[in-house]
Amino acid sequence: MKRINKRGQIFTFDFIFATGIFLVILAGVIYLWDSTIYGIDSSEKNYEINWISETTAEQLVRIPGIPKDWWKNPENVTVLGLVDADGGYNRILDIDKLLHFSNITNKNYSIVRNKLLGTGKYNFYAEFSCLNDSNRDCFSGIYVDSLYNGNLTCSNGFNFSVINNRISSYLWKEAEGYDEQFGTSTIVDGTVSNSEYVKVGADDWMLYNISFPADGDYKLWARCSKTGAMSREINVEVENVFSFIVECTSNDWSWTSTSDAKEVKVGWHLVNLSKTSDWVNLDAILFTTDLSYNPDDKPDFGNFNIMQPISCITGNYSTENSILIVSDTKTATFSDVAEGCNPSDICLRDGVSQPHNWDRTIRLKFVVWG
Amino acid sequence: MEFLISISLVLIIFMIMGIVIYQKYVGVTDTKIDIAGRHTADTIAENINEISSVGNGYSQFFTLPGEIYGDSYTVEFYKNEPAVFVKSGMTWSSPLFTTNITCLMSICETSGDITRINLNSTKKVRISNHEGVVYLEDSI
Repeated sequence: MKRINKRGQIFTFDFIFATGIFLVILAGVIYLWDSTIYGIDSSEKNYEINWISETTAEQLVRIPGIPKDWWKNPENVTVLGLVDADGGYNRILDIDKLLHFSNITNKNYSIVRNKLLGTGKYNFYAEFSCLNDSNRDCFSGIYVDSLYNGNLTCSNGFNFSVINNRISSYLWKEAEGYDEQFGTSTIVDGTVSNSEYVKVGADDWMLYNISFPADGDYKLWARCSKTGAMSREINVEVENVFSFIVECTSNDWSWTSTSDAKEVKVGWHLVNLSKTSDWVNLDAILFTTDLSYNPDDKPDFGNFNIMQPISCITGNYSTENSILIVSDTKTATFSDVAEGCNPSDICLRDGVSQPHNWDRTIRLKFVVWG
Repeated sequence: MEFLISISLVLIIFMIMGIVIYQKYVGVTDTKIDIAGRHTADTIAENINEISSVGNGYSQFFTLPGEIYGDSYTVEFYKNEPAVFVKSGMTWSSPLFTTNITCLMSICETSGDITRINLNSTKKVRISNHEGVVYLEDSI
């Protein structure tokens, strides 16, 4: 006898299959919908973060801020801007504002962030570096109104050492980087700075054309070594105006300095190094206004430009876990170019015109991330 | 019985579908409102920042939209806050270069440190910089 299927037709395979297909299509549509919305959200967030980054970088290099002399009372600043209030030009910055901007950002990051970005949603950091990426010369010798003697440090450890209202200068010159010489020989040696040093004998000399960024009392350091028991003297003449005597006492490479600092005027100076007696090996020389600086106990042969960070970073730069990082880069310059000089102008000193090429142009990279 | 179960199943599926579609619709609407609000705040900030940074004597025109996704909205400036705030259910803000803003438009209200513009129709605005102060005026 044939069995009759008592089930209705509604639970057929067709029905279940159709429902399954419908649900799969529905899930697909929802997925597509979600991913489209996510894409729109992401691009909008990207647009917003770009907009904020560009606007804020522009703000820093184009306006003096409110009040215009806010650096005198940085806690009460309403609008942050780094432009020199007296300069009257966009992109001419005031070093006092830069230093205090870095300082208040270190102290009250969240307040500065909210003032700059207009929101607490994102984080930022600002990186100030010289246009010449290899050194920090653009900051050297700039006049600082707000600090006579002291130090200001950026978030990444970049240190502004200020002495007599000026940012300390560290003028590094490799011995083999002379402009003219007589009788010396350059020796390749992997254990010295820049892998080369100069062997200087009696009557030999070397001439360096060095640009001093500002008036100041400069101390001279020389990295040298010698052979034999007697110490050797190196005579360093600055344009026949005065001379330093550096005494090289060690048979191993070591730094030796003049006992006192001497005043050097801003501008280009011819520096003549000569030997007074027997052979001496010279690796590098350093003129600095930072009288407490001793390169002998420092890494990287005491080269300030290598061992110190090259750029000043201020703000929150721990971006490891960030999804979006957007940066905008602007260039600007400092109002205090060097006393009496403007960028690309001719500086007159003692009635003699000298080309001045002390480049104070800086690069501001403003990064917003979230 | 089977018919009832089937109908219930179909209804449940449609209900879930309805809820999901509704939620997605709300999400999309929120996104649209957010985009419109943010762009309005950015447009106002861009114009004020531009006129503020170019210096004394400059002026230009821009148009404020009459609504943000169908709703009226309010633009607010605070004396000690370098930002413009746009409010319409949600609040959006954009950073400004200046707090020296004076609104001379007929629809502006100033109370204490707050300057408020209530918008419910499209408004053409003349914006000018006079000795460091940014003026918002009715466009004639």
